[in-house]
Amino acid sequence: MATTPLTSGGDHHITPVSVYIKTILALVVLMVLTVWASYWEIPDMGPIQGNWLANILALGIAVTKALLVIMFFMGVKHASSLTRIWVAAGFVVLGVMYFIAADHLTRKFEVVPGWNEKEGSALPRVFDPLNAKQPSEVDTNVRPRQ
Amino acid sequence: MAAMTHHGDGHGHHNDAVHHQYEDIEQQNESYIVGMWTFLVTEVMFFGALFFTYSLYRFAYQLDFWQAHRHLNIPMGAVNTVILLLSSFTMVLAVYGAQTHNRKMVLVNIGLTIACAFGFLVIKYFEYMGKINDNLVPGIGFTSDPSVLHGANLNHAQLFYGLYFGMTGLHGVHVVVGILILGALAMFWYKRNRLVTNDFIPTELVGLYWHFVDLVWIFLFPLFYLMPAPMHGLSH
Repeated sequence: MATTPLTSGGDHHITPVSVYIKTILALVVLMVLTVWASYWEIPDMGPIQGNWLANILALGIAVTKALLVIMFFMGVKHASSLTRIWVAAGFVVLGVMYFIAADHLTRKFEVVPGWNEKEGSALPRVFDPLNAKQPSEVDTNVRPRQ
Repeated sequence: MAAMTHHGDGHGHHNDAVHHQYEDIEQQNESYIVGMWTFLVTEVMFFGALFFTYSLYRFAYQLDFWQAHRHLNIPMGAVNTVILLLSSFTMVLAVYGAQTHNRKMVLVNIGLTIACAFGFLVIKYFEYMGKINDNLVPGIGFTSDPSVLHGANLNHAQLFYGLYFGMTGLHGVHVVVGILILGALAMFWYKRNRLVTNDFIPTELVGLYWHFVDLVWIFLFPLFYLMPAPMHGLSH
């Protein structure tokens, strides 16, 4: 046992406080940016609608903030390979679950019937997300009630 | 003691902190951190299912969710976001204190973290009370007041507020549990318990939990408070 080399480089990495200060500053700046960006009226860009771009921007900022927290505050940047794979696996499984939802995009009708028995309680509210049509325009997108 | 010093890393700290089943302090630390992340990964999947539910219903009822979300208080949500981010910062300073054997730094920063957590809950309390007074709790007494629903379908607005109370409430429970764990950790440090003074890992693990709570809020905030209008021509 005593022959096991105890390398000085094997000590746990201690992140200097300056890194934490930079991280919190970046997080607060991104936080202000995401609130500000939520008030922007983003125009359509070709086939991509403005509200999709706004959602991508908001979630992009959230993912960036999450990565800053995971990498620096939670120390994954300097963690062992095993830890890093373990962390990644959790988010990969989450991604697989979301990937399954791709099927949802192919559905052109309400998956569930209306909430109550009143005729059309849910149906006239149906909004075609892919084509951003007003509710009155999407009648062909609605499965007829039985 | 002499046998245990073989496990030391030459830097003088936690020489006797290595438990007998571990080869050295590196292996022990990694085991603890991977163990904590195993728990956090289950939390990712736990909250992930809720985020997935939210995504599907918001996708199905974009206009109603957007209209219902207009009754949420963005300044309160924004202040709470900053409070949680700052609490994560004080938490890493506490961990840094534990790594550098600075007991005062640990105690001050755990105290600040707990103060931030209470601040978050106080703001959340006022937010919830506002919603409860407007009869926005899903169920039989749910409001039909158009000035509160902002035009959203009654049933879809209930779905939105069900997810709102469910997800932020579950997050709030995590904050409360965090306060209890941080309180226990502060007590250990205050009493100079060797469990925490000899080894920074317990402090680090509590830190990981607290950062995870912050992580969940980082996604809850834009998803619930900062929805973009689903089509042009709708005023914010």
